[in-house]
Amino acid sequence: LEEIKYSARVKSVGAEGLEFLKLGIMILFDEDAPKDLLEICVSHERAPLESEVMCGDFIEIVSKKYEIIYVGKEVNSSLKTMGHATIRLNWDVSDVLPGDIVVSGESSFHVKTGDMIKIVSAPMEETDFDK
Amino acid sequence: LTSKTFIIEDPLGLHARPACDLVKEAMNWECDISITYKDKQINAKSIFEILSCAIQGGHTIEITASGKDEQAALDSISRLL
Repeated sequence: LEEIKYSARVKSVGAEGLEFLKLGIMILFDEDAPKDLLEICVSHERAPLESEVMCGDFIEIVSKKYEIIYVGKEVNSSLKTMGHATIRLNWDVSDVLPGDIVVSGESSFHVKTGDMIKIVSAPMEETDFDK
Repeated sequence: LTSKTFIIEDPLGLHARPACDLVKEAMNWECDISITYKDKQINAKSIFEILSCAIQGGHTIEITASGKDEQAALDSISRLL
């Protein structure tokens, strides 16, 4: 059992956004972002944030799953209003910004137009009450 | 060569939006412009280098301009920051 907190389809990956992905940085914005930001980001269809993102959640990009190990204090607010967050892969959590999410994972980011990006809760164990 | 020190006042740090503004401004000038942050020197015309550095709010950066329009560039960046 897991809760889907955020689910959005990728609209485009900017030319410079692609270069950031190679560095292990994924900058998310919704499709209303200004043109210069669209160049550096992965833009996606606006989606509601169903509940707060927290450490221990996972980011799923197609079939790859990354565990969230840090959530900056501005992340939930900026995801909600602009679909914005900067996701850093295997990053030093002492060297981040309030709008950053740090994830751990073995594979680098690969994203293309049409892919789904999801933020899901850690799997919850089924209790006797649920059965 | 001319340089100036700034404190990043935005508590969110030099995140995507202001970093893009800074790069756009820096690109308007011919001189070389660099940012020194935590003993690292990066190119102020490179959005990759700026965002990879995760420059945090409340921290100090030094901007150095070197070239024929260095003073005008530094003045202009000062107004932006």
